[in-house]
Amino acid sequence: MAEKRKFKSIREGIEWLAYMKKARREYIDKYHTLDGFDPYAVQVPAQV
Amino acid sequence: MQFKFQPRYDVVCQSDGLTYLFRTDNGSTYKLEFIPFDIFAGVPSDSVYAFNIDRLVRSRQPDDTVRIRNTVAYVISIFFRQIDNAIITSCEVDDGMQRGRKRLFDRWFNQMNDGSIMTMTAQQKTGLGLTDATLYYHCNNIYRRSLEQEFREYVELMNEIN
Repeated sequence: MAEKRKFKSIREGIEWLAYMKKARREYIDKYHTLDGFDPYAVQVPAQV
Repeated sequence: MQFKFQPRYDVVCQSDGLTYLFRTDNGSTYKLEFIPFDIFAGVPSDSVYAFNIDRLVRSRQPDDTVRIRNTVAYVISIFFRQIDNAIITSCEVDDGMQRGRKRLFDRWFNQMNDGSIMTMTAQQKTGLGLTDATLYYHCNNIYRRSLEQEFREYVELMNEIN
């Protein structure tokens, strides 16, 4: 797992959590594992 | 959390101490993971985690949901042996099934909680849809006041925005 991430607020963290969960699901669908998945690499799109 | 004498699956804890795997009799494989989640200003960064339940392999046969529930409760109970730990959960929102997932987890939690674990919930409109974020913490958590105060402010902010 990459270096931990500090969020500015709970709101920012929950926004990231939603995108991180989506990314997890897509990763599992593709690879059938979470090995190699880095949650902190998931970014919230800038337009949000 | 109550789990003694409840049938559950054997779990394997990975070396990081934050990841658990178990396999059902029918062959489904689940991964339970606590991801360090540094979102509170007044709480140490290593005491709050995002809790995730993922099914890596789905059996064609229906699984024993009671044993799955007991296994999840068992892992959570291990986590809360460190009573200053706290968990945030949020269900995946982009497939439209988040309400069902939350209802199921809430039911499991209510069935297994012995009253020692407290919760607070807020709804947040994210870029992917509306999600429920729930905070779980032990009633004797030394940071309880900070957790509650910050989460309450977040709830109030979300109520204003939503």
